[in-house]
Amino acid sequence: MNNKKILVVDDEELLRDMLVEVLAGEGYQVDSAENGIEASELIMLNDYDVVATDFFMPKMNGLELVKICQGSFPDIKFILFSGGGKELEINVNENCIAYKGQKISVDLYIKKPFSIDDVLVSIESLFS
Amino acid sequence: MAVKRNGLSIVMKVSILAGSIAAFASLIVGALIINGSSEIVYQEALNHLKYETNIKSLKLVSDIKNLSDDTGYLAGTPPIQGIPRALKNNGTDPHDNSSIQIWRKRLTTIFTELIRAKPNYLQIRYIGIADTGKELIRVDRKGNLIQSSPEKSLQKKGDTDYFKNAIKMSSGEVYISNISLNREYGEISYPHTPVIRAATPVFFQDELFGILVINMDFTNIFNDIVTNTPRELIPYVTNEEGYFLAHPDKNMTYGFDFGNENKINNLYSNLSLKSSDVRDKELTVISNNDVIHVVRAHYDPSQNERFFAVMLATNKVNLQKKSDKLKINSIIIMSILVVISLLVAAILASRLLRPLRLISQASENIANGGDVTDLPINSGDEIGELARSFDNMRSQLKEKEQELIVSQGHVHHANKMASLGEMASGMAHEINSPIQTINLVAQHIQRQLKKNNEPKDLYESMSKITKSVSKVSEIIDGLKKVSRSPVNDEFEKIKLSELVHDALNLTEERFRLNNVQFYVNYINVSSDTLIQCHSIQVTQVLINLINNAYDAVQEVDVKKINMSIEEKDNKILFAISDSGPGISDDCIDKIFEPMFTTKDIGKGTGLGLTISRELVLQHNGDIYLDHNSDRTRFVVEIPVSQT
Repeated sequence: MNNKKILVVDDEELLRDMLVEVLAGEGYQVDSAENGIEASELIMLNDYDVVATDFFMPKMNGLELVKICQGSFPDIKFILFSGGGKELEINVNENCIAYKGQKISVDLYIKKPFSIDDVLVSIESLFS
Repeated sequence: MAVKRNGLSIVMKVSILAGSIAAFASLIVGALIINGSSEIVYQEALNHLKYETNIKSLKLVSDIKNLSDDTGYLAGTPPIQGIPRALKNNGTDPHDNSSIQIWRKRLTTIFTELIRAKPNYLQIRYIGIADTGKELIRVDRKGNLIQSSPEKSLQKKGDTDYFKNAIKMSSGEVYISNISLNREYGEISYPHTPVIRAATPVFFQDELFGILVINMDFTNIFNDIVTNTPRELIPYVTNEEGYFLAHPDKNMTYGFDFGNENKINNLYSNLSLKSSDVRDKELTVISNNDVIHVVRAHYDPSQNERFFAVMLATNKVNLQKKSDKLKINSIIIMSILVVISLLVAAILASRLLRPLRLISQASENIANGGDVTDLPINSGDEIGELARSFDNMRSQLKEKEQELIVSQGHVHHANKMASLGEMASGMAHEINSPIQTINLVAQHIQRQLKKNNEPKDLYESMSKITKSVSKVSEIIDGLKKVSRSPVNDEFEKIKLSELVHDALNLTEERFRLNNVQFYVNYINVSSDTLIQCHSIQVTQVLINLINNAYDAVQEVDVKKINMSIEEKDNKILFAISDSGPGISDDCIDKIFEPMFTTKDIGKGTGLGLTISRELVLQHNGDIYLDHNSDRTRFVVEIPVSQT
């Protein structure tokens, strides 16, 4: 049992719910948000250990979300997942993501599609 | 598009020009020649006239000379001296006792024989001084008979001109009388007989004894002169006074005997026969219409003022006839020459310009998109040069065209790849998200099944879902990978297995569905070997060859494609062979040419191998069809590292 708090951000409801259920089943405290704006509001109000966000989302994408929050909340670990897309450049080894001239570095990048085990193991590794 | 041309073709122009020059030259030369030669021909005709006149004159002179010689010859015969010798010795020759009768008989025989021998001789006489010129012996031709006159019918001739003139001559000289018509007993005998008498004195013991006379008939001689003259010439013979002796019209002759004045000067008033300013014995008088040539036949060497005038007259037109004929002939020949030169010029021009025509034909062909074969490039002249530069231009054009096709192909290929890449990237997000969801749901269910110890087969089904889902994702990934913009495709080191995997990612599903067996063999090289290359380009080349192989095996029952990978001389050889029907011989040379395809319309661009070769050449590699293989086997050679 651990009391780490995780925020899952994805515009795909089914996927979001699934992730919430799996992570909750592993004992994490899990919140979810539908897009970057909703997520940033939650981040302001709560202390999250991990924010796992999809890249492409309406209103505010994952990259913008990370960019806004990284400076203010240096303790939060950011996980970005994406299935790839136009103009999206990813350096897997350094976990760097560039999109339309903007560039961020995250703690972990997971390529879609991923398995539940991949996610669990990866998150586990962030805390070790 | 062929432009419709107005005006003459160059062949026509050149032939007309050359022909005109040749024709002009022939005309000038012809005109000069005709002018010059017609003058020559006129002179020639004139000379002919002079020549003919001279011949007739010579004949006449020679006839009189013969007469004179015969007279001299007779005077030397023995009876001439024998008769006076016998007479002086009372009728008997003291030399041989021949009587005067014998001598007379002998001389009569000689006279008779001579008259027989000379058909124009009318009479030969021996006349003595004594008894007023009494004839001693006389032999006459009377028609076909030759008779000697009996003594009693001998006449006295001491009053005659010829007697008087002959006795003035010294020994050996012969007097030639004027010509006159023969008279019998004072009347002009008929038929009219023009006669010349030749007489020579006979001396005995340095005293004049008598004369010897031969009468010669000139009828035949003058007739000959008239009849043996070409038709266009009119012959005349006159005496020194201008009275006609011979004339085509006999009535005009012997005016002096008949008491009329039919003279040459009636015809040619300005003709002066005796003119002393004529140095030579001949002269030509040219009046308005006639030309007459006169030759004076001097028959008496001792007396220059005595002569016959032999003349040939002709109409000027007759003289010019020949030259006119020549003119006409020359003009005909010249015209033929002009026509021939025009023809030859046309033929030559057409032959000379054939190469030019070929070139212009060729350019038209090229403009119409056709091909050119028979350019006159071997010709050594300017046209050959033109043809060579034209040919050069043509091949450069063709090269450029090929380059253009290839570069268009590149652009097309790059565009295709770029839009494919764009689509794949877009799809990646759109597809990966729902796949992710499916995947997670399936995994979640799996976990639940495991936890609750549910039957195994359900779990397996879920596994299949997750596997299929990741396959879909992988395909999208592969598509994205191979269609990435080549701008970002730097040389990188990549494992052989990764290249092969990328190439197969997009193809092997198709093979499975169509029962195509695909084998990959690493022969002497590890699949982990690193190769430095533009991985996207090499993948594209391999995919292209695999797709070709896939198309090739569609028609056969055993569908097999084999890719073998080996290392040789620091190069990686990717060999792709198939069980297809092979490439026909006549296509083998063309397979790398742009726009060449045997596939159905819409199926192939004809650029696959061309672009593949371009890409391989950028790697300093090579791509070729392995001729040693029974099957269609394409080999791609890529150096292991680019140094």
